[in-house]
Amino acid sequence: MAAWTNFIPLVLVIAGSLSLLWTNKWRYNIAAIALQYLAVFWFVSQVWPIGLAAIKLVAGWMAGAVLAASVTASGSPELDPPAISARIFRAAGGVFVLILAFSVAPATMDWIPVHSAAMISSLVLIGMGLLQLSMTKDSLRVTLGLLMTLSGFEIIYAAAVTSVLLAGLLALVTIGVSLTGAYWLSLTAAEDPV
Amino acid sequence: MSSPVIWIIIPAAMGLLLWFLRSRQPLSLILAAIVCFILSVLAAVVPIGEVVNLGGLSFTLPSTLPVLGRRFVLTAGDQMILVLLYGLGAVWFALAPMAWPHRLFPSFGLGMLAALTAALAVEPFLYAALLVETAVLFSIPILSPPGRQVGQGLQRYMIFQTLAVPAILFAGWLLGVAEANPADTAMFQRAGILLGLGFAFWLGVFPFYNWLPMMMAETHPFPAGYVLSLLPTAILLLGLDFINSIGFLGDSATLFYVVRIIGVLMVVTAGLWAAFQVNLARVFGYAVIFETGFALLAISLNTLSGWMLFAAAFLPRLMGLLVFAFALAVLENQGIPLTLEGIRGLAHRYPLTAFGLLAAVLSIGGFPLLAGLPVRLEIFEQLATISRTSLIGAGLGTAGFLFSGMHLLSELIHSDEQEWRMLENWPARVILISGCLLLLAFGLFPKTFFQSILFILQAFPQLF
Repeated sequence: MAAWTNFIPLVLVIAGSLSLLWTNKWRYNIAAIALQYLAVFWFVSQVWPIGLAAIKLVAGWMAGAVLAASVTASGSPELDPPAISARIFRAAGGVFVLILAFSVAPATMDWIPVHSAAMISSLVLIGMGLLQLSMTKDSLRVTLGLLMTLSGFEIIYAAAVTSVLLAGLLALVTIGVSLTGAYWLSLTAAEDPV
Repeated sequence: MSSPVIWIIIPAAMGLLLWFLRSRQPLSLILAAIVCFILSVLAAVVPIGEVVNLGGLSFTLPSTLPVLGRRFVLTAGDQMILVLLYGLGAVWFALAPMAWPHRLFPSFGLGMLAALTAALAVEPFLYAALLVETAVLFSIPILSPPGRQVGQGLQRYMIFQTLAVPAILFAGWLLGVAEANPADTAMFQRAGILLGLGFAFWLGVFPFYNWLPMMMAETHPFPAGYVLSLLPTAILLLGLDFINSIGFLGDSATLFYVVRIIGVLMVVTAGLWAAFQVNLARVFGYAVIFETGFALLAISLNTLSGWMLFAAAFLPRLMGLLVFAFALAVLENQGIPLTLEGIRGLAHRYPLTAFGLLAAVLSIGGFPLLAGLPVRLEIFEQLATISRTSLIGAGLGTAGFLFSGMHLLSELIHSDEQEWRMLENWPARVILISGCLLLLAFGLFPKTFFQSILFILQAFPQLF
């Protein structure tokens, strides 16, 4: 595969993670996470057999579907759009993470055997995920932040280790995190019939 | 049938079965307690890997279960750990009908136990990260049951526990790379840093522990007590397993120095924050941090006596947290606010609960004649020989924690009421009296209780 094609998923990752920071609309957020898992699949399929790499895509999209279904079922109101000052702050944070990812990637590639686009994508996802986690109390966004961080890690870890059991357990964790998010979304203040 | 089938697959299957029986809370809780008790007794009496003669029947229990090219291994050395973990489960499930008879507790609680046992058994060890994460995911419905809004403390718990997964997995991979090229010391350093970071997230080590008191304040104290008793116990044992199996960790003086500094910081901060804390649920959170700090101090000694102290500390730690959580659950169930103001004069109405609270806090603080003191005293003595600064720090933290106990005492007895009543129900009375007596017995006859728990160290022969 030509080297330049690897920058397509990198663009997807950057666009998706910035849109997650920019908007509170859950439909866009879920779409962004779905795009990110497509990018993860793209990178992982270069080092793993395609059948094994597909586990990442299926687990990621299942996680997105579980969250989307849960948001609609719980009838949670759409969060208010963030104020323009908040958006500027988030965007500034996102740009800072991008700069950091691009500058740190060459050094980390010395000890983790992946190509530059995969490394930058991974660092962007981990950084944006952590940024998201540090700025929100909303259960959906916390879950999306965790999924972003985990998916970023999975890109570089796939280059290091190939294992069916590991792929299965990581997929289980991805779906487990999304189920936890869905469960949190479904919690209501009503009394529990213990 | 192998040992992992008995102590991992069967409890996991029972957890699943109890999910279908969740509408019958007392039955499912009793079943969970019985299963844990049987597994604990089996771990104590059935030798793994040796020929067992049962009447005319003779069999050997294999220690290994292969799964997709990896192995789950529970050997004879792990048996005391199994006794401890399943014994812990049996006690908490047996007390749950009086404290928190929730329908989700037996199934998810057993699931947690099975996942943590699997984490301790899996080879190669890096898979443990994913199994601990599975246990954490099982703990979520227990900590935020339907009807209770999820708070920031619980979210942070989930975040920190999940962030540990990449750190531990990467560390495992780096260790493999480093072992292939032992001359590359930088790889060992990176692996050590990532491993440390992973354990720091898992254990709620300074400065990643702010979720602990926050989570305690948001959840019912009984399930939170269960999770915070079980999870750190299993993770500390996992940490010991890592030090045991990764040669360079055991030889690294820097590692034990860093562990000592972190342990002191945890003891000092937890003790001081507890001294000024007015919310008792948060004090429980600080108690967990305080205990973890002392466990790290015992590890940092890196001597045979240090490892023995580490193992011996499990019983008073778990007993103190159990009595503390049960007493808080009694108050929570009565709708009494878990604050110092809320419990003012409580000794006049709930004397045994008040006594239980006080005994637990003072035992954790290391008050004379109570369970916590013998181990604390020995750790202080050992610390005095290697670092006076650490000793002063640990002493300061202990003083802070004991001060919170004294503060609690003054609030519990401060009342204008002349009349004394005993509003606890009979089962609660029996449990609280038994708990307090055990805390006292541990303190008075430490050797009697500690000798058996030291067998835990059989699982880690490379340590000494």
